[in-house]
Amino acid sequence: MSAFVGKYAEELIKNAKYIATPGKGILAADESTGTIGKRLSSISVENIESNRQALRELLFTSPNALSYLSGVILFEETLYQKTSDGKPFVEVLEENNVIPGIKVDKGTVEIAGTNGETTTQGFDSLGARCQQYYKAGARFAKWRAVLKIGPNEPSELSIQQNAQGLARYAIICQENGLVPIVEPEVLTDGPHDIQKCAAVTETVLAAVYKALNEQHVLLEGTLLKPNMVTPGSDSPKVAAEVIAQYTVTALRRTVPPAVPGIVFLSGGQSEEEATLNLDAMNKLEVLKPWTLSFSFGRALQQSTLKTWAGKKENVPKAQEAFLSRCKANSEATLGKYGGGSAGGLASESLFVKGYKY
Amino acid sequence: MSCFTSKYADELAKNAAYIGTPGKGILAADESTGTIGKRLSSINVENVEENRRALRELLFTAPGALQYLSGVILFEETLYQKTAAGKPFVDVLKEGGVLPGIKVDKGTVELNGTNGETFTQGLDGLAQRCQKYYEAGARFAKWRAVLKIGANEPTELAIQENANGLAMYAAICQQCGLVPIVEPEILVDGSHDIKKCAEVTERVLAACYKSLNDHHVMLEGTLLKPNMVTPGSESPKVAPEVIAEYTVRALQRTVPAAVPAIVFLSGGQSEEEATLNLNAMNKLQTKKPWSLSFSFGRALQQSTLKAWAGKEENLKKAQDALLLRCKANSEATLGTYKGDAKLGEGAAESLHVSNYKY
Repeated sequence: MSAFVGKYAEELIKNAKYIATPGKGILAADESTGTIGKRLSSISVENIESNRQALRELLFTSPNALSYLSGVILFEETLYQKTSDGKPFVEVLEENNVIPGIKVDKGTVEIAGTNGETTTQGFDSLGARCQQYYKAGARFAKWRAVLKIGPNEPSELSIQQNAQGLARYAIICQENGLVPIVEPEVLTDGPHDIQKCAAVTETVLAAVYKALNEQHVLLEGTLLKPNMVTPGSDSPKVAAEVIAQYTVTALRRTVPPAVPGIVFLSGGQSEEEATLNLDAMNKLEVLKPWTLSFSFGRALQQSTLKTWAGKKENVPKAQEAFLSRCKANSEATLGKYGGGSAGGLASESLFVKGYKY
Repeated sequence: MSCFTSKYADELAKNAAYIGTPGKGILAADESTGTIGKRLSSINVENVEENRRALRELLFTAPGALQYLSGVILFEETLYQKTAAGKPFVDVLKEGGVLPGIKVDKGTVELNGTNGETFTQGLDGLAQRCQKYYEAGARFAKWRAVLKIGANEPTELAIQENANGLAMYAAICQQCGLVPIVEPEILVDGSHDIKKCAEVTERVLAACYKSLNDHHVMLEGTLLKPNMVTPGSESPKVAPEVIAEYTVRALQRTVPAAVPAIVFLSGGQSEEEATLNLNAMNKLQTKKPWSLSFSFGRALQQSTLKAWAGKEENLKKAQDALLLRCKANSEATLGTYKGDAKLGEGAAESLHVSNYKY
């Protein structure tokens, strides 16, 4: 085959397919220590390990929420944490049929000679780290590549570097039993229109799948985590149906049918926006050979975070807010979302310029 | 891609989708003068224009055959020919609900420094030619790129040159209103196994779709004409179900869903083999977002040619033979072929010619 078929091939295919189960999606709870610090400070909570542990326990033990999730992406620290009762988080997830995943990249660095474009680091000892994570219970991984739209961006250099980086990360994961989520995020920052975003997204995705082919990645054992195709952050918004049309067209033009599922990033959209857009895509009457689901961070946790505010007495209410977003997005993957689970907090834009995790 | 701009966008998408209609496929009748000469000499018929015209009239007026076809690829000479009664072939086809297509490449030339690898010529003045062909009634085009499997082949050079050539051709066609059939044929010649063919096919197709993206080709207005994934000609044969599995998997890994249809070349398979393999693919229960059909030359005409033998009194027999193969392949696109087509003389005959040149 063109594709690498190692000892984990069948398991990778099975796990990727499970994560892509209609009605389920991914909670991205892999904020690095620095990034989660920003979240916590926004609700005036100190960024110490016990608070980070408390937040994640709140999420993972939310009654009934896990039934809407097929996977949770964790940061390394969280992979080894436990509930206050002493139960490893990984076990909590596994018992509820949620596959633990692990962020394996080490952030972005600027590419010299470009206008602020970046490449992603994390290759050193990646294979060995993946093996360790597999032993700890992880079965999928995530690596975020970032591209921007500008007058001369994304440059061919940036596209090539990020595409090859994603492909290299992906094959190393597959060698070590982890399903790689391939995430080539095209940032929303900018005054460009939706057509521009579509053109760039198609170019980037074409480069990514060419690189994956070159490096013998087994597509049936991967997932894609792309941006939705939208107008730039400085441009007027458009209807969910328009976003759905452009996004699905871009994916139909670039993502081979062998990929079992596409799990969108929310990239600064409000909780409600992200859900409505995902729902519109799944309502679209056009042939889609992969499932369309979510891998949301901010768009699943925003109102939960605000409701919690770091106070133990707020936990049940916060967990209800979380359940509400999980259920809404589950319905969106089936094109059955009726709207109306948007509390005031759910409509709040989560856009942060030049967003870094 | 999103950068694609052409006044023909809607028409291209409509025609490409029509060609992919389940139950229909393409008759490749675009043999160049030299190549059709070989066919005619195999049945002792002189290679003169009248005989070439007579053969094509036989094919296009075969009663009941056109309903199983969505397109016919023509050579330039044929595009301007008429029936004996004076009706342009193009009109015969259109009235039968069949889109006329046109071969626009000018054959292959060797790539310097390689071991017999080639690239395809025909880009010079292509836009002007396409415009002329559109005016004459053509609505799709075909361009054959050829790659081979060997110890060191296909090389990255051959893959890149052929992928790039296909993409440039495709972009020009779309600007002129012709749906480009993208044909990256990997020759069956060789002693390699089916896994090797699959690996090469996936690599080649991935390069093709990257090039098409680079050249801003609108995939919804294209068709793909690939080889099936099979063992090499010198290797033991395998069952149609195996060919189907490897072929469809290779396509799932490389061909975006925006492509409406995939129309296989027969590449030297016998008429019956080609039909059985196509049928097996359409029976396969797996993700197939594009329709899987045929664009057969030899595998549709072989027994017809033999039955005709150049004699007017054989007309009906010959046309019956064509109808038989058209119907069989139509059923194969629906996965309903039962293998019961009465085998005409030659239907089971291998049509493989080593290192085949059109």
